Amino acid sequence: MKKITQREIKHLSDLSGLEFDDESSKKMISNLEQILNFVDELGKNNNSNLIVTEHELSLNDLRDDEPVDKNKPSRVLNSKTEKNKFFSVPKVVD
Amino acid sequence: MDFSKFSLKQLIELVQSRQVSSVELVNFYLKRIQKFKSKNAVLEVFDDALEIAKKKDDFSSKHKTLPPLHGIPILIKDNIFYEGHKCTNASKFMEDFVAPFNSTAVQKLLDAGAVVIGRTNMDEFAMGGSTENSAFGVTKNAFDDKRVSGGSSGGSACAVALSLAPIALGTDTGGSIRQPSSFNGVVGLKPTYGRVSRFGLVSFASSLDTLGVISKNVEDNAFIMNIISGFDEKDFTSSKLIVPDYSKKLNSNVQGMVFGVPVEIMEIIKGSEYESKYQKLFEFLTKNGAIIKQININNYKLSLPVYYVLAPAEASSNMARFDGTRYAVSEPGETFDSIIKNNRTKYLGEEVKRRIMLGNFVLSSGYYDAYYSKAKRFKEYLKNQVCKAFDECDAILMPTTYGEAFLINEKTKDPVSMYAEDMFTIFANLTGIPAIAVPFDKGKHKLPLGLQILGKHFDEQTIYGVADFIEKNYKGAK
Repeated sequence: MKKITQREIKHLSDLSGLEFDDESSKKMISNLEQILNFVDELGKNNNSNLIVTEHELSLNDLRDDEPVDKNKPSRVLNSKTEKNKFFSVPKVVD
Repeated sequence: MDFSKFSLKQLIELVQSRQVSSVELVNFYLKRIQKFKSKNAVLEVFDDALEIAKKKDDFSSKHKTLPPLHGIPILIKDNIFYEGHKCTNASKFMEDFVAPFNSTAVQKLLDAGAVVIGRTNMDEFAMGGSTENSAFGVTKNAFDDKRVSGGSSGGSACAVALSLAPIALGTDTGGSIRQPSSFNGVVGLKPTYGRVSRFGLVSFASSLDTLGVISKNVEDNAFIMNIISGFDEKDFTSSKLIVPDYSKKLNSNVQGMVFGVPVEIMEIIKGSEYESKYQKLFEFLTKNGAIIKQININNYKLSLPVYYVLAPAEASSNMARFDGTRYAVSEPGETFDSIIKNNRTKYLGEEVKRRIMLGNFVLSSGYYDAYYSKAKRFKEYLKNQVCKAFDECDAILMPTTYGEAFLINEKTKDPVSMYAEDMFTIFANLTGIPAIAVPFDKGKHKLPLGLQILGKHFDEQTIYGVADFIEKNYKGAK
């Protein structure tokens, strides 16, 4: 059975943009182990010869790379950090 | 007038013949929503609904011909965009989010004359099967306050069952239209992947998400599906195949049809109180000239783990956009990373966090091949199997759920037991085929049970026909 360490949870929460206190971290470990245990059934089966398609239905041609809707609504409409029609965030580069 | 017993088709006739106005209809449903407020099916009634209804009535007084849904009130699930109106995904994270444009499905309904009167409750970001994951409280079952309405489109299904609107839109990624429809005794169709545009629907697992209709009867469902289906240049996974007339096979029979019943499924319900109900239905179909054929879908049970690898993997990527700067909320932070963490940690619910973590786990290096690649291959394997199955039959029959709606809080402590609820529904999502849930009998608590009919890719017409036949002719304990 798959065991998840505190270190792994820390790594995963960094990847996920989430933070957990000790208690919720313990609960998350227990939940994830339980789920992975159930998902591990997959490991017992081998379908390595199958080719995977990325889309359900490869029916459509791609459209031309030209804007179709020139009156697009503002992207910052729902932002609470909007400044001069841009998203405003702390500096990310030095 | 009490419109609650009227079908959509009857309401359309009343409006088109000017016997009933849109204002009368909207008022009637708004009052019903108020009356059943404690069910918590509707999160918000849009305050412009009456005003729009008045405009519809002005239009009908000046024009002879009216569009098909002229003045008809509808409800939409809270993850479907209706321009200028809130769309919160039942999440604190999006509590103040206003849809910047119309989803294609809503646009098509508006073009057909419909009046959107409100948005319905759901599991947060459609992740769940009971609406217990809504940040705004659980939706109770239409017939029993102690039981769940199902999910994630629990609000829409409960609303239709209680006649809070003649029809409602829902979305289905792993059973989210069919399971609540089954729990509330209404008709819910998950279309073929690519049949209805996903544009303007908040993505959960993009390769599995579908948008469909919840209605009181099969005919109404088919009618709305004909309006919302079709190619959309804004969704490149939508299909260019011509949309057939979904009413064509209604009012027909099942003479000569072959129904596949997967051995693996019947084994799961073997010995349960419901087994005999399905046997009784199969006998009825046989008497009516249909052939019930045992088919095999090898390793069927593995569809659950496959789903719970693929859906969280896609969800974790889709959820990355909720960073605390672009949408609705804004917890401060000293760095961009801390803003992301602060907002997501504070405003996302437990199940959503669990799926993001799980998704990132199965996609992370060292585990990608063991989980994600394997699940992708198995999905392909299931698709091959279903195509083979349809060489032998016209449609597949199976339950929609294990049984009647379960109790509120019965499964909240154990995520795996909640996931297992999806046993019968995720197959259609993983293989992309259409499936309809139609009430056919009742369980020991006198609550509805839904039969599930699965069809070939893009063959909604056939499953509508079969569902309509059962709805009109089969006398279970409905």
